[in-house]
Amino acid sequence: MAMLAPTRMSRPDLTFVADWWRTIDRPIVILAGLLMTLGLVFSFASSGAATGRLGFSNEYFFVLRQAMFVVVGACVVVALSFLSPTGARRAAAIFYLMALVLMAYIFMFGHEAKGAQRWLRIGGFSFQPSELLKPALIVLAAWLFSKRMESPSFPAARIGMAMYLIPVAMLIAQPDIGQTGLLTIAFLTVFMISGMSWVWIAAFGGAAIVGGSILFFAFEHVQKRITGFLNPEAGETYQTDRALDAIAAGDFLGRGPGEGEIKHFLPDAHTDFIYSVAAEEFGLLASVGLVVLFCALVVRGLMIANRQSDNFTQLAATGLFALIGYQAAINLAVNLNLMPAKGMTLPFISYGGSSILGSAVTIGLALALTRKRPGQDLRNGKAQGWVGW
Amino acid sequence: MTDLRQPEATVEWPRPTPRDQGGVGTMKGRTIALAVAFIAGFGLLSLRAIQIGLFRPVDEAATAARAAAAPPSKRADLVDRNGQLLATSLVAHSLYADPKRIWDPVETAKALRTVFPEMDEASLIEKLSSRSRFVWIKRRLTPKQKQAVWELAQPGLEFIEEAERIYPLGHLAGHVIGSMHPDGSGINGIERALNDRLTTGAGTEPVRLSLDMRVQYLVETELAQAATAFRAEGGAAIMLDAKTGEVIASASWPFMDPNRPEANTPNQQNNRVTNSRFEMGSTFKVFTVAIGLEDRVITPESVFDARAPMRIGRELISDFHAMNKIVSVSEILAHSSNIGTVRIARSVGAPRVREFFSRLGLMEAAGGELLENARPILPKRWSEITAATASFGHGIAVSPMAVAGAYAAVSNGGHYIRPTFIARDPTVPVASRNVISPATSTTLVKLMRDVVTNGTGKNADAEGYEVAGKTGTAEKAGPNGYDSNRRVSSFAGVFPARDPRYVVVFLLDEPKGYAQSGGVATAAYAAAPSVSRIISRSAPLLGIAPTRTLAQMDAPTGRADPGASSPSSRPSQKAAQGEP
Repeated sequence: MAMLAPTRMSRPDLTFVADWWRTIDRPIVILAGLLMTLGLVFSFASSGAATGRLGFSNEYFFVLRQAMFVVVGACVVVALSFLSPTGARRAAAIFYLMALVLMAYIFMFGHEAKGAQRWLRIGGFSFQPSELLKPALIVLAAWLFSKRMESPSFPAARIGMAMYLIPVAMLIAQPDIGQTGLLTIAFLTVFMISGMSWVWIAAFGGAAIVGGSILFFAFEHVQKRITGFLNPEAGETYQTDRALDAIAAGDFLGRGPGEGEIKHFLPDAHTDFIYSVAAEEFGLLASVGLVVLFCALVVRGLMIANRQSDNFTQLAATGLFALIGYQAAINLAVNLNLMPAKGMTLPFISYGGSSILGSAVTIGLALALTRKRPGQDLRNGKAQGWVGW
Repeated sequence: MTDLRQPEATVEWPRPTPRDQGGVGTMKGRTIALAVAFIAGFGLLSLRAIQIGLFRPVDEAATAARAAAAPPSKRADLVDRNGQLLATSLVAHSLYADPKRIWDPVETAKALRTVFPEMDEASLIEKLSSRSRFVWIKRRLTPKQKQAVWELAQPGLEFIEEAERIYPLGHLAGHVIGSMHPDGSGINGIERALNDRLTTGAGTEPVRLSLDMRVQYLVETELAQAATAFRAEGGAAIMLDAKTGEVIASASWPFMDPNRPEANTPNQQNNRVTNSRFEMGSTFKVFTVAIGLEDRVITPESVFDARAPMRIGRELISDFHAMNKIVSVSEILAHSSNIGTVRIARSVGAPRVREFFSRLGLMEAAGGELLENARPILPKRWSEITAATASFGHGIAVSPMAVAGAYAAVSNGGHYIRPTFIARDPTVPVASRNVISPATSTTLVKLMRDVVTNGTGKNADAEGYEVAGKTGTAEKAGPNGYDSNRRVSSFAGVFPARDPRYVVVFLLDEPKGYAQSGGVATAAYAAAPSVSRIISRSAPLLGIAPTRTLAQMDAPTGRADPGASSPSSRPSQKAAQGEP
């Protein structure tokens, strides 16, 4: 890293793209690209099953659409990763406002799917603005808390709470309890990492527990899922039972591509339960492999975040990678029947334009924030960071 | 105040930066802790994936069967308003095979054919020798069949419990009740519309529909009889409680049997009551007259010039059976004058016609809870000419249910009530919106009664039950404009006229005249007689007392079969010619 400046001079023909490739964190790019490609591969397995269940005539419907989403998502990752940290912050502010306006619009004239108003219809596509909101809020929260670290009088907590509570109120109204929970723990993570005192953390944690209990009693479908999860005899476990059957049927190497059988009876096979479909056809290779890939992505992300000398970029990158990590972990835990069903997609892998776009924006912003910059990893003249790759 | 006196500029205070101080270190440390937590969490998930993947037992065939079978559910029953059972759930046994455990596919196939002779041996052998671990042989066996298969003692044949939905009354109200997909979800009708409520509700509490199956039976018999006699393409008949909006009977011909959803053609599945749209023709004239009366631009005694066809823009509006004279409002309805109706519509104006039709629920899907619920086809612009044709029911196509709802509104004192297929709780007030005044409503019912006593609706009268209503014979739009050989014949009415309680709408799509109808298939012959029979047969069941004079009571007229004995339902050739 110290050789950075001489290297730059020794290569006079550096183009814009080469410069990008040299400064970007390549392991993250490769891991994200791999995950998105796997998502496309798994969509071949899930598309036929899902179209069959939904009565669509074209069994490759979801493959074609997913391919389109992946291409768009890849472009979004690359485009965003060109931004400077300030540019990323501004982009986040714009995304945040856009998502808020769209969520308010849905709140008033939303399109209802499966008992929840989360979707905005544009042409033949549905869009879920909360996917855009999550990374944007994390970056803005990181900026607020980093400001506070520089000048303690900055009312970061109050502004941050307002920025968090407005979208959360709308998410609860939709109702989208899964996203609310995810947003809350990711926000809390940024809060904690920034060095907030344990008193604050305890207060927030307490509020989350109280809020969670209220939601449990206020929303019938959440209650049903949790009680169904706690005592399976009460019913309502059809979906998770099929998911477990699928994973169990996978064994070591799976039934083989396209040979899945239980996937045909698995509701939301192409979205929330794509992991189980992959496990049925590719066995432990997919089920453990995916967990390892996500773990690598998150840990690598946290490592490069920790190397940042700037409080804002470190906090924001940490928050963004944690966001992906939490979402992946929750989705996997639901598939593995360690948690009640949440309605949460697997980042990069699950079918859906909003989900892919959300993952792409998250990783694109994180890449932008962690690009190698002169002096980026120096604090007081000393190299920072705890591990290399 | 004391702060201000501090010599602030002279002393360089060490800036306390507690967050930065602890901050960097804390951030690094906490991020590392987070990374460790993620590694631990993902590690646990991996272990769990291995545990499930390698150690969860899978009987492949049983797993697949469990997945494919409709789980025995506590789906709620459906009953009619009197508690008559319409749909109930049983647990049935379905037969599947695990081809891997079949010894000899040929032997097993032959054995199975002794129980199910209708099965094809070749395709059975093919199924039983497939590479799959699970194939269905037959869904939902009778207990006798199950025992017989059991006694075959063939390895690889297994049973699984499945939910089975039974509709004991067959095709009666089939379109309203709907049917089920083998996977346990509703395909159409109430089964589809209330799928969530039926599966997730109390489970044991039956859902009580508004239908009265005794009336439904009468209505279906009459509809089938008329539709067959007139060789109609389709038919629809409704009875609606005008005061509550409850659908008492709703029949669509051809019928469908919900017990065999796979055997019903799309034509049979179509619910013509709510999902088909027709240009209704003259039954709409009642609504136009209602606006005129309500806005006080006419009275029942007003007269209009119907001596010559009328021109609006490029369109010429004439009467089917021209009276060629000055006509009263009563005659406009009784003799179904288009010219007179258009004159009323013009005097109230196109915006008012549009607004009133909208208040009557004619501009929206009116199918109650059902999802087979077509939106009306409306004029793109409400110009003078489109409002004029809409005033006598052309250029606007609505479902028969929408007509029933609108007739209820104009005859029940002026309250529009959204039709419903669910029985109402009598203690809960009915939500409604006012469309006309009670006085206008009363006048309108009198005018409709005149149509039945003196006009085109004579054949609809049911002795003692004071039917009031309006005929409608509309030509269907074809590729070359309206086709005089393809008609929709309907009658919409209410009874008893002294205090309208029930609305009846009866419609035949493309009826064809036959010998006994005098060769004609207009509303007066194809729809009105059936309405008469439906009312005279169902009114006693509905508790409507007939009004009869003492003289009539002294001389019983043998009303055992009022339809057949009613002289007016056998038209002469001469009468047939004069039917508008």
